[in-house]
Amino acid sequence: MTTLEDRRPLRVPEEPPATRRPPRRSVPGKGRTRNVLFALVFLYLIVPPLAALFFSLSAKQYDGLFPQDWTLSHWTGIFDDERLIAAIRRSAVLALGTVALVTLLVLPPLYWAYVRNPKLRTIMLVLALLPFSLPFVVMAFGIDRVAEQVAFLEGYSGTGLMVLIGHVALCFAFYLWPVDAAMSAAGVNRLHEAAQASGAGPVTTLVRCIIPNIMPGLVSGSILVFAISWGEYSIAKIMTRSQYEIVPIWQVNLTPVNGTSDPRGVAVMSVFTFVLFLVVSLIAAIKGTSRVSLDETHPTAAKES
Amino acid sequence: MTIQLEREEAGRETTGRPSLGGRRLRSFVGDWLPAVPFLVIIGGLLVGAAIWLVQASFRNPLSGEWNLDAWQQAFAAGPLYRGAIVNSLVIALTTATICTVVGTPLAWFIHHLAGRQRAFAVALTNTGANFVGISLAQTFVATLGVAGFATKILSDLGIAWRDGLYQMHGLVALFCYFTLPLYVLLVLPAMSAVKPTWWEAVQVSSGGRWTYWRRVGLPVLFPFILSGWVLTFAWSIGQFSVLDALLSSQGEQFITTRIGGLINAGVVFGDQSQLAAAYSVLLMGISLIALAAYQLLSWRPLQRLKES
Repeated sequence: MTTLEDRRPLRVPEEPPATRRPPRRSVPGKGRTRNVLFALVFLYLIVPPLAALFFSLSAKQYDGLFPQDWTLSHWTGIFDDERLIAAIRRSAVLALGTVALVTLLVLPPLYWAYVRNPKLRTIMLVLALLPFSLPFVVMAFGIDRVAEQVAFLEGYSGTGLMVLIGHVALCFAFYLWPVDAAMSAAGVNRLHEAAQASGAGPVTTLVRCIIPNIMPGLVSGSILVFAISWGEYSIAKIMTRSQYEIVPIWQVNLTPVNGTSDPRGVAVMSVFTFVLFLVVSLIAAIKGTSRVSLDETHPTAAKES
Repeated sequence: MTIQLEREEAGRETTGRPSLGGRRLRSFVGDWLPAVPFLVIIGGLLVGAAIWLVQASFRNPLSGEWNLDAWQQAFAAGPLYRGAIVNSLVIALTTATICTVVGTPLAWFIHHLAGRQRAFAVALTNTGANFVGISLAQTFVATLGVAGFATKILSDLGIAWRDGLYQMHGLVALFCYFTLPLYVLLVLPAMSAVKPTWWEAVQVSSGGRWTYWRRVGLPVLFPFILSGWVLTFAWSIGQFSVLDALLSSQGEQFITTRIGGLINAGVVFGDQSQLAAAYSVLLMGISLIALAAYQLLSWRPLQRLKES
């Protein structure tokens, strides 16, 4: 600052400082430090997916920076890879199934907790902390062994169904929080009373009155659950010993250390996953600025959001 | 456990009402019926899994006899045992600390963005926090791997990196990719606890930037920063997929990869599930303590934040 002033010798002398100095800047939090930090973190977040993109676009040996020869063949090639198509289909079904099952399991009791039985909400919120206190690999191991002891699930051990149940048990918290926040914001109790007074039963009330009013929360929750289920690796790895080949398992199975390798195809899927998450997050952020936003619904909701 | 709790609480609820037994039962069923699938599938599995792991860690899986073998073995000296625990602690502590130091100012700056800029920053942060697991490991191989994008830049700058990605500092660089955004998302709501008027107040009392942060900003934010650190630590120590994808049984060992390895080893080397369960319970214990600390630290400040 002194150098700046030194360069302007003709500047009008400043008034003597008033007793109450006006703030130099409205709030500290703008300026060069901010821009440098933003730039560094932006680079840190954007370079790895870009590097994977360059790698997936390089025709020959890739040894850093920009590819020598560009090709799109690895990107177009994924449509011919039946094994990968099958993995994508499995992943998509699994993620959609997780969203559907989580919705069916969580939405009715949560609604009920608001209108009839508040203790239920406490129990649900406490249970929602469990997936956080238990690392996913630990949970996968435990759920797998418990399921072996349940007669009803006998014979399903190591199948896609078990992976689905595992995903549901781990992901529901990420659905519960935004939906819970949306419900309390929408005033579910009043809506319920109004609907009851008009002669609607609980199911009609939930479907036609509550759900339209908590849509932003439902969308945020579903998107989060979908994203987590899509990228989740440890459950399928531990429960099926990598036999149920969803996209993350496929990616690991095809890395060079594991024999049959297609590193560029793997990079294609990594870039695709990043873009998928970015698009989904952008939609959620734009939608969320008006109503419920992911980062402010619950302190721990952001854990994997 | 939950069912017991339900009964007690439902009982307390209904006894107050002057009603017949049948009516009470109906009211009880009405209170809890929509929650049965949830409580059975999710509650049963999660609680059951935790209980199963605790008992399995004290029990020989073949003979069924109770012992402490796995717990003694878990802490035995050697890179596969105590070394794995130390590695896990080191990587989680380093990652959480770096995230706190970089993430706190970052969250502060993001908090002061507005409109579309803020939406974009939050979206990118969200993406980073979500982008964990195999895809992340692969992009880092393309970035800091032996023939990676940034490895090339580093070697042009005269820094030898080569297989640095597979050592502790490389793994920390990778872990920060998803924990830094996570930390930012965690502490972002807390930034509104620091009121702009306080900055004016500090200036009126002829205090500078340093005084402001030292005496006002950091003390107010401290509980949130600490709870963010704790949760980031717990999240890092439980990571399995990136480590599994990168290391595949070579290089440094961590608690999570040990669990994965022991479960798979069962096929060839006999049932190792007792030791796997012991490591799982150890990890569970660390995470539970961290989570309890988080709740304890953040509850009161959060209430205050909601009130204001």
